Amino acid sequence: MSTKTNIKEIIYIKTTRNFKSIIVLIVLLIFIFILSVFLGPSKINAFEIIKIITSNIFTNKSEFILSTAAHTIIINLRVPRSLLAITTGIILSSSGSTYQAIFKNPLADPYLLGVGTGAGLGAVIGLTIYPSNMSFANVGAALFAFTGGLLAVFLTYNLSNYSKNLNHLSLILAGVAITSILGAFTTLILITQNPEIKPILSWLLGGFSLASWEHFNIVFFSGIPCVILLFSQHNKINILNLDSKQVKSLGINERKTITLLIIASTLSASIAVSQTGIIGFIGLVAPHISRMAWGTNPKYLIPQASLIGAIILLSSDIIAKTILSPTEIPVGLITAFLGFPFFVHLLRKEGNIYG
Amino acid sequence: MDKISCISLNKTSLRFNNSSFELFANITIKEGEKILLIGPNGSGKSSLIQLISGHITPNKGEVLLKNMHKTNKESKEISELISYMPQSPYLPLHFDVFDFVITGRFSNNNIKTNLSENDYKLTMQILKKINLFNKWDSKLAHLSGGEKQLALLAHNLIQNKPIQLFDEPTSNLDPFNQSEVMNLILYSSLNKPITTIVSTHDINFAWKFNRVIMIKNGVIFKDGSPDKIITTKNLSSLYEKEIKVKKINNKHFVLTH
Repeated sequence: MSTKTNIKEIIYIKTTRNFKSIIVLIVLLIFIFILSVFLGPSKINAFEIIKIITSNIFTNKSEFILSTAAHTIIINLRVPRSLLAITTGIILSSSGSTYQAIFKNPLADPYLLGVGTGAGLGAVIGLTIYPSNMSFANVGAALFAFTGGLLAVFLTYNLSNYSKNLNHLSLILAGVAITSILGAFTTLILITQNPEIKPILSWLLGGFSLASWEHFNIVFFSGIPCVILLFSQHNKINILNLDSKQVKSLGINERKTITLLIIASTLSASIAVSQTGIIGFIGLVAPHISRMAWGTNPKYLIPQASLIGAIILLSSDIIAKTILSPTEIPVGLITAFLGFPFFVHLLRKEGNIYG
Repeated sequence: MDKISCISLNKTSLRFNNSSFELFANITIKEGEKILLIGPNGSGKSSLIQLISGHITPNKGEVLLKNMHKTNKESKEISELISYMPQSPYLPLHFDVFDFVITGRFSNNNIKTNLSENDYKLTMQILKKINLFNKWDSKLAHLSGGEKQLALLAHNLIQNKPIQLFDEPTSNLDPFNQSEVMNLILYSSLNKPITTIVSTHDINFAWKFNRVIMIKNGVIFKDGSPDKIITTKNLSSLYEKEIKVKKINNKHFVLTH
């Protein structure tokens, strides 16, 4: 931009343009949601789908009789599945954006910090003690996952402090170390609990193929309040990107703020993991794309990244359920395939920012 | 009427765990004073600044700000009085210049609400003053060392606090920028009695300030107006090197070789 740029243009770029981008992303997400409900291994024609959805919305449930297979697939499988993918995308991206500010590291995400594996280990322990065919097993897994996730993030944080300076590399190395050790424990449990292995293994790969309203409700009602809390702290998150000395100069109690934010973002991310398995890279890729396109202010970054995360994850799920139809691929594999070229891009182009 | 004492360090001392170094200071600073802090590397300039800013708590003695006793609990109140530019802080390199500088406008009053249009205007003005406006949308990662320092300086000046502390604010700048930046630090808000403390290695700026404090090995070596204490004798014993002060065309110059 030239020196002739005036204040109106700057305010437009920093506020109005961001606001408009959020509207566009919402419209795009709704479009992909509709697509996701329309697509699936069983062929149901569009007209019937519209009829099922409208009848479900406008008919009182008590007088409802029409309970065909198509109806069950749409209302009890595809809709909750798509909503779960959206909610998970929102949670992973907003907690990713928050971790990146807290740890002063644009590479931090729930997966790389060990939260994913920690929550996974917790959930596996939970499911081993309290198998998934019992009632409230999903809630139990969620609680174990939260404990595991929180433990992992504190281990990573403390381990990275061993190198005295909290720099980019030490945090990522600590995350890798914690991820591998917790992953090893998970494998150990899986091997020793032989008969249970298959359902847990498919869950670990991450995916929405088993999604139900129960999963959605657990993730939505515990995760979205955390996301709202994170968003309400956007100015503090903005300041936390600065040096600790400057954070203090601006009157922010860094330790107190960070503790609150870590609990909220780890809680939401862990619960998402407990119900959907380990889905990597969304929390890293979505905030990064958003920052490249529209800037770093968390007031806009959190909603933008959340919507981008939801769009990527929902699209990945559409690919997961259609590309090898009728066989499904775990969505975690799709996001891993998307994540790899992204990392290569980071290494090649932005080494000076992220090095 | 006397000017009110703004900052006072009453027999304040600071020790570091794993060294024999001790900082001792007993000074009173009046409102509106412009103070230059000089001394060799490791003499305690940064520590003295951080004692005042509240980033370090003293082992003995106290630091009074506007006669308010300073403890960590009152860091919100301190943040409304003091801005502090650290020497080489971590910078969020993925921020653009504008977004980085404007974070200086946050205070306890607007942290729960939002930045106003005025904050955007002030950010633009300071970037123009500091000759960085042509890079307002560049990422910090793509700036030179000097430009990063200018952005950091803008982040501090924009806070417009009554007490402003700068730890070597011009160390990465070219000579012309150095002098412009010093003027900006000293005269940016003439209408308010701002107390300014600057540490530097460039002694030639001393005559722009009304008080110079020399620190050597953690103790105050000399304290007074530049005309009185910036002398060949004082500087030579401060740095333990041969340094000359000359007057050419009614202007003072410090010659280090």
